Amino acid sequence: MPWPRWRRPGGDGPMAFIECEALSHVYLKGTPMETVALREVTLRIDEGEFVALIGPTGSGKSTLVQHFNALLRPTSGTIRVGGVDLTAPKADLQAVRRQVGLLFQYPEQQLFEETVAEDVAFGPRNLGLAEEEVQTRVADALRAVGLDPAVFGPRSPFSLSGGEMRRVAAAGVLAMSPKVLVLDEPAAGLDPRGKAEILGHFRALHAERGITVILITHNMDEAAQLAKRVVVLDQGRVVLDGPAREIFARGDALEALGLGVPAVTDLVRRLRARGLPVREDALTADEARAAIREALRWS
Amino acid sequence: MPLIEVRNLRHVYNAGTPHAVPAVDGISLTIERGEFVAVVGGNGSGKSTLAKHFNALLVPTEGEVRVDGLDTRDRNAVWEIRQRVGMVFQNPDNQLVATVVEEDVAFGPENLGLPPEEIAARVAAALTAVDMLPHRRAEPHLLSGGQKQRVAIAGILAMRPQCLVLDEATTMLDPQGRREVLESVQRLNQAGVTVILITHSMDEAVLADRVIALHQGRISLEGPPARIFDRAGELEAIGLGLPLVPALARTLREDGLPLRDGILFAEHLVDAVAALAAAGRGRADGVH
Repeated sequence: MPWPRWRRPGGDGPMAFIECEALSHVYLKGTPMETVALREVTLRIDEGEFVALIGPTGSGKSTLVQHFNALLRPTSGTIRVGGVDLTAPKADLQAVRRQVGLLFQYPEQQLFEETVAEDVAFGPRNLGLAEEEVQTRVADALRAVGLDPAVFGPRSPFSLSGGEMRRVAAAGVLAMSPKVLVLDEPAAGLDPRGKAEILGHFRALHAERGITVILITHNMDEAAQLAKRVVVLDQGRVVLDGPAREIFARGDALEALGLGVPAVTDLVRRLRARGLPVREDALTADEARAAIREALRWS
Repeated sequence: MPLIEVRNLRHVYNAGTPHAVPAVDGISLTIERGEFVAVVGGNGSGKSTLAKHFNALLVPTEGEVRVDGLDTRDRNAVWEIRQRVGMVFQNPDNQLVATVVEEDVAFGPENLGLPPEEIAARVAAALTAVDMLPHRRAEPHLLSGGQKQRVAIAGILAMRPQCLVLDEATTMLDPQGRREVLESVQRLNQAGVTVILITHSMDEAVLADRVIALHQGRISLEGPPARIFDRAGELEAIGLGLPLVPALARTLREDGLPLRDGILFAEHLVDAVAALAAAGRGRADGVH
């Protein structure tokens, strides 16, 4: 079974999957170019969460997530992933990298094989899996991003649309059967249909297979519609962390950081500024519609 | 005479081979001087191919494109056409050539053979127009994406063009960078520069005077944003959606709220809802 639904063994409460404790990261330490990217970040992400990681450009988002699969090691502090202390000298980093799949920005630039199926098979094959298992995983991963393996498998990745290429790259990560999916701006640059498609697939992977998703995005509407929890980074620190509704209700704090607010939040704030009793924490268009009707007592 | 006239344009990539793809398949349009036009469409709709005809980066397979009366197929006119119509592309990292901002902006005017004082004046004016004068001595690779795109725009402005074409120039930027670029572009348009914004973002298209929506190489919808957004079903059919505010106004109208037509921005909707509340309050006292 390539797609186990991840369950926590026994216990009632959610299990911490990623735990950072006072994690700091300094690039080029000890040189004149020394740059502090993360400052004592303490953060816990549980199995099955859908977290949006937001923050201005240069706030440390990408640096942080590269610690989640041991591409970077902390300069100080600790990080545990799936119970493994990644700072321990003999930590099995390969095992962690199989559990945490990282989809980089513009990942379609990294497609290289002659066919879509070969490209997606690259990772699982490197795991030394039996060919039959590799093929099962490839087909399943392509289906998970809405691409029919029979149609797309034999095609050249370079004959596809931008949105399709992006989804092939995502399938390559999914074929590793990760427990956690880290997505760095997965919809950037796609047209509205391509955006809706790829984000819909990630939403389904989370809902149906219980995959933990960590979404880095500059798009507040995306964060508001998808994530249940929002973590805000600024200058290498976690400055806000809480349920999406609560974070986005704090529009002034977000704007002070140079971040926008979701379009719905912006509208609701303007309505309230005009004295209309619209509920403050609406996040989706449907909620805004209901809130306006309610405020007007329009039934 | 309009600034740009496109008549029955077809553009076929790999024409005459088995891989022939008609990217633009019969488009006619005119762009008037001083207009702000958004060309929208999904991937593969032909919008970038069309844009590249506006300054003769591509020439028609069939049909005709004229810029300020000049035929883009006339090889002798290409230089003049490109002075009139400048283009900014998607990737901010691919467009700057010099190691210092002001040298990058000076690159075009230097090629025109202008005297140094004139070049300096143009560079200063262009950087001021996009709010980048304080960064004139910066190294481009240290700038943010939005700043790089504004330098790219300044490089074009220094050529004193009549028209600026932005081919998905905000796609790779973060929200702040996008805002900076769009504000610069709106200011330039108000100062008289014709702007053609190629985008798949309807949130950007709403800023234009006129929207041209492409699908499969043809024009499928055309008009002011308020008109276009009344045709939500047709937009969705070609892979484009409405921005939040017009979409919400539409659903509220379906709910029976008497909202006026042409609601595009949050402030329009807030005004309309506030007006209803003021009227409804009186009614609520009596009827509800």
